[in-house]
Parts: sequence; structure tokens; C-alpha cells
Amino acid sequence: MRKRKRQLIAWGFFLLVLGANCLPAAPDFQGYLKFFAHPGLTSPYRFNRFGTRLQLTLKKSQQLVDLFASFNLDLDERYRNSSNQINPDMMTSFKIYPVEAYLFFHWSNLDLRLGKQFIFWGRTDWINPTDNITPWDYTNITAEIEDYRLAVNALRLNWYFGLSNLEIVFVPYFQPNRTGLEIPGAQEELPEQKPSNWQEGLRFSSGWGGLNFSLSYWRGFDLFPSVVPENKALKIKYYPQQVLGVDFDYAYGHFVFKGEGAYYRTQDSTGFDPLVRNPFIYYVLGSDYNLSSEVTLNLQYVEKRVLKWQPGFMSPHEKKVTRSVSARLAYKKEGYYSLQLIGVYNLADGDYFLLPIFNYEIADGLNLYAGATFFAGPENSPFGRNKDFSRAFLEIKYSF
Amino acid sequence: MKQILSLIIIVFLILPLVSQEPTGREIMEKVILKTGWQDMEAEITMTITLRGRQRIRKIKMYSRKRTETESDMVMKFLYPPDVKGTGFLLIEHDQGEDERYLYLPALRRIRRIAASGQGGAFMGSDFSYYDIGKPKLNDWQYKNLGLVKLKGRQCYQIEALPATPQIEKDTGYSRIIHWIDPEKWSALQAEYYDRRGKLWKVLEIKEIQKINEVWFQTHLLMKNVSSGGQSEMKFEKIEINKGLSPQIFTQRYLSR
Repeated sequence: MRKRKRQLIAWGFFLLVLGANCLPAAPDFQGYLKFFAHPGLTSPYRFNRFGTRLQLTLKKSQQLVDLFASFNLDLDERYRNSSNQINPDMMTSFKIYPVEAYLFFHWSNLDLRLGKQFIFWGRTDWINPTDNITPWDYTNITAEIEDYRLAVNALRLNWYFGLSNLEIVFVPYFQPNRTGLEIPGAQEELPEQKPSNWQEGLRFSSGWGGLNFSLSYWRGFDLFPSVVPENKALKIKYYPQQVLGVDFDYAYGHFVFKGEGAYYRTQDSTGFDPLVRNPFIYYVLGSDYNLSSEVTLNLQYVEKRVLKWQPGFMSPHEKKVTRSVSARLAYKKEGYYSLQLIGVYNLADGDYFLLPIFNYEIADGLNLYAGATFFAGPENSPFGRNKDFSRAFLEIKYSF
Repeated sequence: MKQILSLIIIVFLILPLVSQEPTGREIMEKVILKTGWQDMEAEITMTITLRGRQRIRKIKMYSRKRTETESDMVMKFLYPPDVKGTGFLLIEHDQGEDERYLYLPALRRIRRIAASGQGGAFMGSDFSYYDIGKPKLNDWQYKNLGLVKLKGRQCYQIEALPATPQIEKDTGYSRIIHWIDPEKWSALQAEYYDRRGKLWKVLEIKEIQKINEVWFQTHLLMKNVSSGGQSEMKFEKIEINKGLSPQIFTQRYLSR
């Protein structure tokens, strides 16, 4: 793991040096400095994180190639254990790591991005069944996407023709979601780094009569772990899967209708293996609605339907059909303040996740963020299990 | 008899002159469907002032006429640093809904936004999305209220009423009064009335420049009568008919 980190940092610095020396255009430096505090929202209400971050971003462009490199320097104090147990040890760390670092080649109809980058697929809000490339960090959800999504080392090719676009993605090394799952004695086993374990996919996007749509295919690994007993011990594994997806959006009046669905083909094609997820269909249907020029509401219906259901061979937590609703209410007084409330509610278990975010623009480039990630519900429900990760966040950020 | 003949001759001489008085629509056609430019590139500095606080936004703008009556526009934010890279793409359609896309670099995603949000404030300013786009001629019914003097210049005063209740709902305007300079075929001032018929905003054109034989408004001041705030837009580095690539007006360019 350490070796991989060193490789990443070395790769980032290589790109920086390459960019600074080889590209003739003047570099564009920007970044931010922020102070953050993340107090826990469950007893004993201690600080989960407390620190400072300096982000430096270099962008250098010329006719055919751009360099983009963004590094974080974090001085961060955090609890070793994110669970509710009292742990007197605070872990202070100073970390330098790349957020993104890639070369971007662009020709008349072709774009190529090579390096560490964010790749997002799908059009719906927050829940994207076709989005299986860039992992989540569920233990660090804040106002900023780069905190809770983890960029991947990838090659991404986009070919544009007419109103259409064909995207091809290769991700050589698998990186799972950070879920905060801690099982004493269990050993994590990542897929072996070999060419046959490369993740790859393609997505065709087009538009017709005001309708935008995409068809996608992804062959990779489940970003969520499976806990498997093996040789009298527990192992945390990530199984291969293939995802066939479709998504669309269509604007009409005050509405933007959005939909996204995917068929997940897992390794348990018959449904008789209780340790491996069954194939399933996962879809989201919803709409944005402009309540006024400053208020937008997004409502979505989410359904996951497990296929090849074999009674007696299923995990006790698995349900044949899981239905949820999600909402995002956003009020924005541009240039002054904004308020967003994001929520997901599971209809069967009654568990839910809430993310209110308040942003106040103190001055041009100086922002205050306050909010909370709040998980609640019965003990064994998807959100109820994460109760201990509930926390507030307060951040002051100066962008330059 | 001679007097009657003279009167008939005078009437016949005057009638063509009277009928030459252009209609409100004819005047607005000349203003909106200006010929002589196909595309435009400029840098805009927008200063928003409200209750003593000032916000500055710097924007790079590209615009083109896709057809005689349809335009595309791209705006990319250059300043302040926390919104730098934010992009807005508008693709107008005569038939069907316009397409509007917003790229937020913080989210690394392009988000489609509702076509009807035209009345919304553009980046927190007193200009609405509708104000910054090219108005659609058929959205309004025009009436020429005659020639009036504005700051020493003779202007046509044109009343524009929404052609449908939906236009009124979308734009938030129940009535607009334009002051049009007949020499430059450009507005010098406009008053915008809200849906209750109350004066809402006043647009003052502070500067008009002739670029490539076409008159462009290069300094606009929108005063919000109801909030007491105001927003100022200054256009600089204007370039006309550069032959901008159609690829600029795409989602691909927006997220670059």
C-alpha cells in the first residue's frame, strides 16, 4: 500500500516536472487553503477530524496537450478509530498526496486523459447505478467532492462525432470504496495486479430531439467488499462484475427528467452462492423542478431488484426488492449564500441519510461551509449500520 | 376648390410618410436580428452591488448565430478563484425547448438545467438568464409608442408585452419598455415590469461601440428598483466574426 502511495506521488511529481519544463505555455497556479473541524454527532461527541489543508493546482495548456496536477498538503488530527468506542489516541499526520494529476491530449475529434483523474458516469442525482469507476470514501463526506470521491489512475479516451461521443476507459489498478468496515482479524484481499484484472468499459452518449442519453458497459470489480470465511478466518474480498447501463435526461418547462438504470452481472449467475452477490437490476427515476429562480427540488425513486433469488441461499441482510426515495432541495443566492439539503430514505427499513450543507460567501474567494452527515435507522439497516460516522463539519476556505 | 385640391395633394404626400413609420415589431427586428455579425468573443467584468457589498465576476464569453434566428452561447468564469472554471452553455432552438447546461468544476460534472429557469438571476446578478441571452422576437408583441427624447437623443419607445402567459411566467416580466436609438438600432434604456405590473428593473446602456460596422452595447447597468441593488457589465476585448469553431458550443468544451 505504501509502495503504491510512493508510486502515485512520484507519478504526480513526474507530471509536474514534465509540465513545468516541457510545455512552453505559462503555467496557471491556483488552489486553496482551508481549516476544517469535523465533530462527531454521536456520544462522546469528540472531534473526528481537525486540520488544515493547502491545495496547489497547476494547469498548463498548449495547443495539443494540457497538464493538470492538483496536490493536497494535509495537516490533520483524527481519531484512529472512527467507531463510537472511546479512544484516547489522536493521530496527527502530515500528508502530501495527489488529488488529480493527468495529461490531457486533445485533437479535433479526440480527447485522451492519462493519469489520476475523476471519472463519473450517469446523470441522476447522487445515486448513479452506472457509476462504478471512481470509488467513494463514505467515511469522509463533506461539502467537497474531492473529499468523498477517490480519483483513479486511468486512461480515458473520448471520440466525438456529430452529436455523439464514444468514451473508452481503462483502469489498471483496482481501488475499492472506503466504507469504514472494521472486522477484527479479517484480512483485506485486493484483486491481484495483472493485466487480466484491468477494469475497462465504454460509454456511448448522444442526443436526439432534446433528449440526451447514454449506453454503457463496465467490466470491473464490486467497489463494495464481501466478507467471506476462508480457512477458518474472515477475508474481505472484491468480486468481479459486469454492468450494463443506460441513462438519459430531458428538459421540459420547469422540469429536467432524469433516469439511470443498470443490470449488474455478478459471479453468482445461479443465485446459489450465499457469499457472492446475486445479479441485480438497479435503477433511478426522477426529476429536477425549479420551484423558483433560486430554489430547485430534485426527487427520485430508487429501486434495486435482486435476480435469481434462491430462498435459503441468500445473505440474511439481503432483500429481494429494496426501494428508496431521495431528495435534494437547493436554495442559492448566488454570490452570497446557499443551502442544500440532501436526503435518502429506505422505505423498507426506515433508515435514512441526511446531508445539509450551508455555504456563506464572506468575500470573493472566501467561503464558510457548515453541515453534517447524519446516518440513522435500525442497527442492521444500510444507513443504521453507519450511525457512528455521523458528524458535523465546519470549514473556512480561501481560494486563490 | 383649389384649397380642397391642395389638401388632397398634401394628404397624399403625407400619407406615405406616415405609413413609413415603422411598427414596433419592425424596429425590434432591426435590433434583435442585427446582420453583420456571425460570432463574437469578449471578456466581461460584472460588478454586483447590494447593500454596500460588492462582488466581482470575470467571464469569457463566446456567442454565435447558428441560424438566422437561433444562437449559441458559452460563458466561462475566470474570477473569483472559487468559481473559476464554471461554465454555462446555452443552445437556442426555435422549435422546442432551449438547452441549458452548467458545468461546475467542483463537481466535475455537467448538469442540465431547466429551460424555463430564464427568469433566474444570472450568477447572482440583477441580470436574468433571459436578459443575457438573445431575446426571441416571437416571444413578445410590440407596439411603437412613438418618438421620445432620452438624454438629448430621439428614440423610439417600444412597448413589449409577453406573447403568451408562459413567457410572462418564465421571464418574470409582464411588460418591457425599450428606448431604441434609430441611428444605431440599439436599445439605450429599458424598463422591466414584474408580473404585478410594478417597475422592477431599469437597464441603462452606458456605452455603445461600433465594431466591424456593427453597434454593440459594451457597458450595461441594471438597477434593481425593488432590492436597491445594481449590476454592471463591461465588455472588453471584443472580437467579431473570428470564425469561432462550432466545437466551442458543446458540452465537451464546457468541461475542458
